[in-house]
Amino acid sequence: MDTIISYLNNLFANLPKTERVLALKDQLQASMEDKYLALKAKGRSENEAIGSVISEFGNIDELMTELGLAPTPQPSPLKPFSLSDARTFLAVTRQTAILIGIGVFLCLLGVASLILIGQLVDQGQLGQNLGESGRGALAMIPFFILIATGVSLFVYSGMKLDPYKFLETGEFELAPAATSELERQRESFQPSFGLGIMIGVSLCILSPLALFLFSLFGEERMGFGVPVLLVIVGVAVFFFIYFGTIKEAYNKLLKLEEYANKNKKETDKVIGIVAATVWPLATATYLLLGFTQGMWGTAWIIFPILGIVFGVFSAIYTGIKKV
Amino acid sequence: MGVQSDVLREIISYGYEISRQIREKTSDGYVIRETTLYSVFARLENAGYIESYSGSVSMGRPRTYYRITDAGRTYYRQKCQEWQEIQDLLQPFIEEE
Repeated sequence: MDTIISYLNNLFANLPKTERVLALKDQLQASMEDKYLALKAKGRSENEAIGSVISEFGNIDELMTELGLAPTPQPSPLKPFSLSDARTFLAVTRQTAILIGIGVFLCLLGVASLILIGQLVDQGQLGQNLGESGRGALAMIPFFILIATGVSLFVYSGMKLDPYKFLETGEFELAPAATSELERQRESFQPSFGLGIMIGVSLCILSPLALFLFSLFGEERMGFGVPVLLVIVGVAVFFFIYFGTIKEAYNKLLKLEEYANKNKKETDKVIGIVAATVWPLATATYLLLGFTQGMWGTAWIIFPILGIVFGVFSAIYTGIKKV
Repeated sequence: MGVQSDVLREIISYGYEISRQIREKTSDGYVIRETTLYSVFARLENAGYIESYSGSVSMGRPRTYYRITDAGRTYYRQKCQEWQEIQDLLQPFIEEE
């Protein structure tokens, strides 16, 4: 009997809950119940009885016309998303995750090269025969090439992902077959995700070792540890981005975790805005100090300090948002 | 519609009972669907040919009962007559075959 009731409930789920509709539903239920009980009394099995009752129910659209309702009530405004759509999206995500990861790595490498060359110039090991501005430019060339390459990777990835923007807002309906398949895939991805994040975290924790190692070779060598630190952090960030993006893609499709409600998006936006202002500002300050004060060898301290401050900020902000 | 009105001619009845009688009278030849039956009820009731009221008799469950009205009875006779006329009209064509 429960099967019949839930069958009716499903049929009426999308209809307006007016008195008339509800009365009609009650009548239909009573009638179906009568039929079910009569069939059971005739010795039919539970399944046979339910089967006949449901097969003899008819078409709900017939009643809708009678009630003056549209035959097909409110077609879902959500964009359908099939399993093959999801597969394509995941393939694109994997590809762009690598590109974005490399892009971020290149940006960090750019900063690392800037600091490294700045140090070498400062200590008179490079660009001796160049003028003051020539020495500055020497550090800038690889920096800009690397940043430009990184940024073009971001732009290219953004273009590739643009058709999937609507997934962010959850305005799509995943095919039921796709849901179970993706849940399975997400489950089997979980260990790789854990491992990837673990490697990333380990690299971050180990990265300051570079500073200590270089400081062993003397006070003025300590500065060389920073580019190495940045490269290690760059590798770690690649791991975070690659595995994080894939996990996020599954969450997006299945509307889980951060995509279960819409708060996360806002958090991301605020952190994104802060990041987009603060990091270029830091770079500008570094360049300014370098060119005007010749502080290539010391001004790099901005980056690790800002890194820590920014990390603390986003952690606190996310924490507050969650409460 | 003749079939339902036939059922309604003299007795007060409820949904399942009516569908059961239709089935019986046609010797399982016509199994009316729930949605068809209830859209017919709605149409007839709107036209004032039947009236419904809720009550509980057997099995203790409240049910909606239907009873034919005078207008319904007139309409029924009219339809029966129409049907008879159509039959008479078509009969020669059927016999010719």
